[in-house]
Amino acid sequence: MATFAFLGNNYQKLTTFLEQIILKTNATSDQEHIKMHIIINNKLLTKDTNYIKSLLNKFEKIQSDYLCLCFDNETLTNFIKDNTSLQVLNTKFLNHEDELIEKIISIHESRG
Amino acid sequence: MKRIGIIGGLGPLATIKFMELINEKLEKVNEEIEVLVINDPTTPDRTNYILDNKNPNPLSNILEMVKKLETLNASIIVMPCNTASYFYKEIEARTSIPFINIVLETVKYLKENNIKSVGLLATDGTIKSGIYEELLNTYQINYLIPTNDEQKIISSIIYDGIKSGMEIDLDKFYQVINSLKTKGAECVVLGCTELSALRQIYHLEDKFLVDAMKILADRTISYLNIKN
Repeated sequence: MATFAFLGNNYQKLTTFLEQIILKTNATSDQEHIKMHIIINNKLLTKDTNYIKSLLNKFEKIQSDYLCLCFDNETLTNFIKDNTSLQVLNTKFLNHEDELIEKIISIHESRG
Repeated sequence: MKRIGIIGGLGPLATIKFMELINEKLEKVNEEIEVLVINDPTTPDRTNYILDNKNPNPLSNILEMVKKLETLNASIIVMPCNTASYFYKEIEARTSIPFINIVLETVKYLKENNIKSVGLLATDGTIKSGIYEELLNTYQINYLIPTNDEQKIISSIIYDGIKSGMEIDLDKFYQVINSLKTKGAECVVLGCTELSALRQIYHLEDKFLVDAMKILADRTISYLNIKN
């Protein structure tokens, strides 16, 4: 089963987004839901590249498969895309949540 | 940096509701705080294992989540699941990171508030395992549980209701609560995080309900000395 990593800077926005994923997942028991690794840092957008690289290493070490970027910052997004082996699923977040949720659920359903 | 490590997916909606309780506390915080969640909802059902050890054991999934939180450098580990607290000794033995036990914190809360008699709403697994009963006895708090028929209602609310994403019959829920009140409970502990999720979803602010998950969120913040 695929594991999705989520990286964000706003606790409530990311939590609300994750709730939408859970509510939209076609599951009648806990065990059918999506595996997630979540890191929310309220100062994420001010962190240096060493910190970001260490976060990406951590996601790889704990065997995340896909990475969802739950913030909007072009510079950081591009840096992450260039410095991770995880498959990054999105480049925009706010107002693009529904398409990202659809992508996540589709991957989850196809990988079982 | 302070890092809150959450063992999640037990169940997934309860994890989200726990995150919301934490978020409320972090809203106005200036210091840098990381919230880390390892959410593995494929963890085998805890009640199924406690009721029959031949069923799949959730412990290895739980310990794997602990290991991942160590990799993420969590400062503290919390697990918003009462039934899984059956494994708290194994979790504490596995890691040097402080683990906050939802059942212990809830019973301490009851003692701090001079509660002498409590009703417990929980999974069959939590009740059978005796994890609340043992601590309540230690703290000399009288313990009341639903009848067999009432427990079936609670179990159905948890599994057929919250975990399945279906609607809940709140009348039946309160029927069980009122029955415990009639038997002398000064309050009722929501000793299953799915019931805590129910409380949040339906905005139940009844002071008679003691929400174990809310207590866990409060203790998490105070343990890390987070000020807002």
